[in-house]
Amino acid sequence: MVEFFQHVVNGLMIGGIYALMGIGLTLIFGIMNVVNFSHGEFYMLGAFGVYTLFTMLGLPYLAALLLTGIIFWFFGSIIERLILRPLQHQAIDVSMLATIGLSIFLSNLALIIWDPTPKDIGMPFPLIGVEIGPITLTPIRVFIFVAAMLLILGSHLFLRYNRFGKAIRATFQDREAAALMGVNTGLVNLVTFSWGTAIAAIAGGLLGPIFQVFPTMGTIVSSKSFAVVIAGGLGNFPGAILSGLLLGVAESLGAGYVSSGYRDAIAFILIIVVLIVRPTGLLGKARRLG
Amino acid sequence: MLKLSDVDVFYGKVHALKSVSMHVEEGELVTLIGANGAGKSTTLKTISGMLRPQKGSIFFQGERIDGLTSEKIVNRRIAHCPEGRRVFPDMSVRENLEMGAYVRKNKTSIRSDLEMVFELFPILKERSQQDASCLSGGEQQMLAIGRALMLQPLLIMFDEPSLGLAPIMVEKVVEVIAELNRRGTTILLVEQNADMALRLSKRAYVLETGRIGIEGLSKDLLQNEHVQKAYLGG
Repeated sequence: MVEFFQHVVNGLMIGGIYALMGIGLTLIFGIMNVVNFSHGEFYMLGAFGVYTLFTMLGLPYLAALLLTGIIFWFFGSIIERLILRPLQHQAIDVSMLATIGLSIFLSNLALIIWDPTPKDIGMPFPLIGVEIGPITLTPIRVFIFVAAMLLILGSHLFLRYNRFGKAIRATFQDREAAALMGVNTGLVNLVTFSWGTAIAAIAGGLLGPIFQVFPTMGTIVSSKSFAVVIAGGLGNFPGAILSGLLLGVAESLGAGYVSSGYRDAIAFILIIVVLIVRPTGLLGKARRLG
Repeated sequence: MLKLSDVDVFYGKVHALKSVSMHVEEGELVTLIGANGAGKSTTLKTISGMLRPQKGSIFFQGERIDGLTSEKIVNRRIAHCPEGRRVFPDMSVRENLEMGAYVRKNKTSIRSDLEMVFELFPILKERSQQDASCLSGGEQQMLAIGRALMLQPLLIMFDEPSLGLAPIMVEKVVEVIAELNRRGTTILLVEQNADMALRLSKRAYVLETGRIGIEGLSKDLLQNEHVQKAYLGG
């Protein structure tokens, strides 16, 4: 039983990261109608960002994380302006191909800059475990989970109560009607994409110290983020959070009780099961069109 | 107040509006009638900046507005109440109304307009915390009208406000539009229900496949043989 709880706690940490990746991807899809295949590469670059700033340049970990987020906010803005905006009136597969191309470009760029050998970011926090009852928590894992939850909560509160956050929701629900209210929908696209990029980069920077950092690490995370988004219901914000956490826990339990070799397969088993049982996703509503 | 001169609009290769000229004076209630696909909605979308005219000009209060973004046009207090209501389904009634005042800054006057809308449509006050998708079609139309009013508009354009509503709701919509006009709001009304629109308005334009076919006083158009045959089922 103790082992079970330990797996659940570990799973929630990874799940928080999946949820972070998922909410960015789902909002970008819902608002911009863009299937962002470079989301995992933003995650990878974020990990390298923290590696460069924290491990190589010696900045404090928190500062490195924050700075990575800011840098990738602007990076996302540039991508949106240069690549996605000119394609916004094209069919969805055009921007899809563009983001696939971007992901290949970015992982090869990382290969040139940081070479293919996996890097260790190093531990930003002491390694001593804190024992809560029978469960052991290391400070870094607590930090990752809390940071992920705070970012999700912050995003939620922004969308719920902020004036511009409401404009983002309105655009999400009916782009044309939002424009008729005077919402600058181009700015909504820009902010959504920049925010999604920054969040993905921070997710990479958060998880970086636990795993190794290498140029192709984004590929599997991209696929899992898609699994999270589809299982949660395409374009569904709470659904992405729930299915992200669920996937993290399922992976952790699967690796613990079945075999760690199956860890990466669990996301895709989950997505198949959800699509068979609930084709609209965990929290997706079936909508009448028209 | 609003003046369109020789406006041409294309949808790809389709010539949707052909040299359309019309005007709406301050305080007027003008209607635009016509068959399906004649270009009525296109006209409104062009005025509100969702479509760009290839030729011609649109002036509002003496200033040229064609080519401006819808954001800038909304800022000039032109409200467009679109066809099919288009409320934000997963936002509450209150949030929908607040979106109507999105470009306004003065919080106190927004709040007093919210009260005014609630007074006009008490049902919206009752349901202010519910999602718009929970409302009936008629209630959603009230919400769409209320949302347009939240702009404190100088001109409101209604696109088929009676479409798909029960007769009792149509009556309510007619009442509200007439009342708004009495209070001084200028109104451009697009309707398929030509009889209702002509009785409500002072002047009217008839759009026929992208061109203004007939224009004149509504009471004259009600007597016009062609209008009767084509639009009034006479």
